[in-house]
Amino acid sequence: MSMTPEQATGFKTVVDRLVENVEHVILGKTHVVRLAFTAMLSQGHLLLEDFPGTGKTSLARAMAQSVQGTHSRIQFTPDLLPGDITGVSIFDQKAGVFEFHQGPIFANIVLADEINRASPKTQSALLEVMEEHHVTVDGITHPVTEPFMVIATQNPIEQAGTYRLPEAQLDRFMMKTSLGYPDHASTLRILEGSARPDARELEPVVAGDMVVKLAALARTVHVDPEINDYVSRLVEATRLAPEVRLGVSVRGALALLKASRVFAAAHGRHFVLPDDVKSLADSVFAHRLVLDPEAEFDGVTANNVIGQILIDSPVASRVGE
Amino acid sequence: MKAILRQTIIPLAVIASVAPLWPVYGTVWAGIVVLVGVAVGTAIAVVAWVRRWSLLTTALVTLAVFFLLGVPLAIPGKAFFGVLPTPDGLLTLASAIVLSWKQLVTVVTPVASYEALLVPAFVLTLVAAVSGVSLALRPQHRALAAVPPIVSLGLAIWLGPVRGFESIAVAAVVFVLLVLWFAASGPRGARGVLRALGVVAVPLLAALVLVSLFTPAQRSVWRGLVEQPFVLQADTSPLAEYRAYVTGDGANEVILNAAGLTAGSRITLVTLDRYNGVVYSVGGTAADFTRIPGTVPVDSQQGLEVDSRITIGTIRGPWVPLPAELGSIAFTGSGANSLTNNFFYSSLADTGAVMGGLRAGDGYRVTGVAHPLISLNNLSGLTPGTAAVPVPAVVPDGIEAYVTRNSENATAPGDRLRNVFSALLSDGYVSNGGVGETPSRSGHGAERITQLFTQVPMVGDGEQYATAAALLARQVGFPARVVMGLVVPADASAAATSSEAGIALSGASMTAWIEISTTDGWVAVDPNPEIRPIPDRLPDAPTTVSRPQSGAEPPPVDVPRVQGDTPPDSAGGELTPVADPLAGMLVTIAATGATILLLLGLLASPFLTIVAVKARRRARRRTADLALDRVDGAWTEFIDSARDHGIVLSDSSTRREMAKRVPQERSVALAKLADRAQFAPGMPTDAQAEEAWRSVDQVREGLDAPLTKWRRLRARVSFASMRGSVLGRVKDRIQAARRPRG
Repeated sequence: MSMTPEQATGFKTVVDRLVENVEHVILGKTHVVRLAFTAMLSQGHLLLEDFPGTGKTSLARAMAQSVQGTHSRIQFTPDLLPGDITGVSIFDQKAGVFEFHQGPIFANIVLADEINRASPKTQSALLEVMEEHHVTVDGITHPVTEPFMVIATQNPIEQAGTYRLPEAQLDRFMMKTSLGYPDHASTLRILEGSARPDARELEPVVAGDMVVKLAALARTVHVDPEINDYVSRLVEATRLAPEVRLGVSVRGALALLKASRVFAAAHGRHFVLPDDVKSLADSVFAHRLVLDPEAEFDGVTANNVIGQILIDSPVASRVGE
Repeated sequence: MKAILRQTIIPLAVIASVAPLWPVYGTVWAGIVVLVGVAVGTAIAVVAWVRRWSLLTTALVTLAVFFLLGVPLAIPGKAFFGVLPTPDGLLTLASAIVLSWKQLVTVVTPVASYEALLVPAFVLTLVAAVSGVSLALRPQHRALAAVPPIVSLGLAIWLGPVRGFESIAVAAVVFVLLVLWFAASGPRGARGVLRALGVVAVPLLAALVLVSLFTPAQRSVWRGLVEQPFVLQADTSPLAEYRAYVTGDGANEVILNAAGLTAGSRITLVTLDRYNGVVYSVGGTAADFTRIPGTVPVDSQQGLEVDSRITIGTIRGPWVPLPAELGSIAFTGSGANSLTNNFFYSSLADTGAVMGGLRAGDGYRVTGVAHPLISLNNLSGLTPGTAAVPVPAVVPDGIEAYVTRNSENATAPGDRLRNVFSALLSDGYVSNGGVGETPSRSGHGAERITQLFTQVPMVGDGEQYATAAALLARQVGFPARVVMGLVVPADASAAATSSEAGIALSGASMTAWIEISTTDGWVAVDPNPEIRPIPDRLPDAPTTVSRPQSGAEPPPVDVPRVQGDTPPDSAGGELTPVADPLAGMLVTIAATGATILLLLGLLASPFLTIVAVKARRRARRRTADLALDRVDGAWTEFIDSARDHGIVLSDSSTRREMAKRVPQERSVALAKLADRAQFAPGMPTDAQAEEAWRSVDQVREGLDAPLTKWRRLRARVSFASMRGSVLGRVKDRIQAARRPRG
């Protein structure tokens, strides 16, 4: 059953309220905030890569605050161990049994700050929970609560003592985006409103189970076969681009379609447009590409490649004939 | 440096490709025109490439350069100081774009810089150079750069002379250059050379195989296929009006003045080679009248060189009196241009004609070689030639018997001819049938010629004797033809003939003789008996059907029937029926108007076609069966309208992105409607389709509103939206090829 126009309108209202709530803290970044909530309502995870002091953590915290539920923050450091994330089993001498103590991953929204500072072994501790939504310790599976979302941040400047995220890990993030520095007007507004409440003081807008229901509703957004074709052609183009060594995976294609559904509903539409796909392609695809070293050396970035592919690829065949 | 050398190959190929036109022009100036055309075309293409001109801009610049340089180069006679184009020159140049091609193949070669006949060479080289170099500079279309030189080669061969297969050598040179081009611009090494050879050699081999299998005896080119514009009526003969010249008042009228001729010189009025039993006419191989550029090569192997000036008196008809086989002719006086444009010449008949006829006072200077006049005794040594002359349709009774009777003692053709002509000259008596003369009927039909041979004594004049002699010579075995013309009296003083004014020749000087084809070429023979007293007719003469002669009205003057041209002021003389001048003027105005409308229609036809195609396309989209198709058609129409108004829309843009580039109130609404129709579940309604088309109409009106009328018209005929056409695709590809550069 497809989403009705009325349901799309209701969906949009909720998303608008969420975005508006976060914008009390993050000014002038409506598009990024929308992208972040798109990832959340697509039941995906978000990777924020930006310079220090641009509001990555604030965004993650504001999102967590806006959704009524639990949230935790993990500061990734080189000496962080997997058990520090997932939790550990401790022997209870009185009961004579091992008791599982949940780690900070057991929360609705987990903020993984500076994820690239942890060792690969620790980073890989996130793989299972991000994909399967459960943790296995000592052979026992512990499901996380829904909704579950990881918002990770990383700093692109300080490379010393960091571990680049492996491709498999990157592929599990639905989107990667960045806030960037605010423009002059937004900076002025931030300075004038320095006495505003910080993210920790925001009131929740929706309950956690509402997020789950919205995500389920978003899956009923209508997708025309032409849109599937367009997404497929974009994915193929990433694999054929000469600057790319490894193109977008099937998981990436599915992620784009999933995110496009939410993005369309967040704009009050019960059907997906090529515009939705184009708006999300860079955020969903760019971090999944592995560039050819020569192209990388020439200064080509994944964002450049996606941009060129969008320019070169005609949108759905009947548009613009 | 290497790249520059490579880019010179295509211009060189263009120069080589027009080499087959050299025999047609035969002047150094044509070479200059070709070189300038190629150089300028190359320069335009390079500038267009550097400055990234659109196809339209390049075409307009080429057109402007053509009009700027066309007059001084191709029509130098109509340029101020040989440099600046005159308004008349520009008009001539414009018309020559269309008309000069046919003229080029209907004028006797070499044409040199006659009128506007250099225009085809200039157009060919300019266009081939612009297109060839433009394509050569686009990496993705280099292979197509070979097309313009090949096309110009084909055109040059088809416009070239009928005889001569030198064009095969030229074609080989062009193909070698093209192989070099492909080798230089394709992959390096043996693979590149092989590929280049393959690209050029395969079609060349195919062409050679076809040519070897189907080689024609003579090349078929346009020059040989086009119908000459000067066509004579076959059933009339100027010889029929012979009596009008030599009897009555006509005998005393000065029909022309001739200077530079000696006593006894002959002036050919017309040569007649076809006899149908009624009249001798110009209608056989001699009927190939063509326009000439002023000079023609002289074929005569012997004869007297002539340089004479003729001034026309009262002579009638289209025929131009010529004292020799034409080497050159130059008309003088106020009507010189008109006469030059309307002068036709048959090199086979050595006869000239002017459409519309000559007027009293017209003059011209003629040079050439006069055919020698052979005396009776010298006929013995002649051997029949091979000139093609039509077989008489009817041989009058008495001819065969007369030849048999008078040549039984001789066997050699020359001896037989001498004996027959000796008999004719001794048997015959001359009478023009005038007042006081022995009755003698005019005409030269079979019945009259039979009467000539059966009547005793034999009485006739030049009309009958020339006809009879030609038929007798034919019977002996010599190809022969009748010549009607004038003879300068033997008693004319040298002072008179060499004076500036020349000697006045009256109608009495008109005569007729024959020319017979021998192995030495055409020679003239005078078959007219000496004028002497005529004995009384025998009373028992069996064929004494006589009619009053002197008052006989000669048949009307033959008027050349002209195809595809309007004659200038008629000078057909009093025998030509005079039309109502008002009606004639109306017809002329109507014909001119129709021609102008036709030309305008031709010029406008590409644009009208575009407008019609767009209208049909719009109607098809608007009346589609499904509402979904109508909405989709509305959106496509929106895009086409925007493109026609110069707005660049990319295929990779979504509808909403495109709508934002078209700053109109209804653009975004239309995009949303079309998006919903296509991507939302369910089908659009008829009302939505109507709304979409209303939006399109509003957008179009909005796009037109700020434009001038000229710009609106440009949008209507713009080719930008015709993406389905071949040109549209080529243009898109060229633009796509240019994008990555820089």
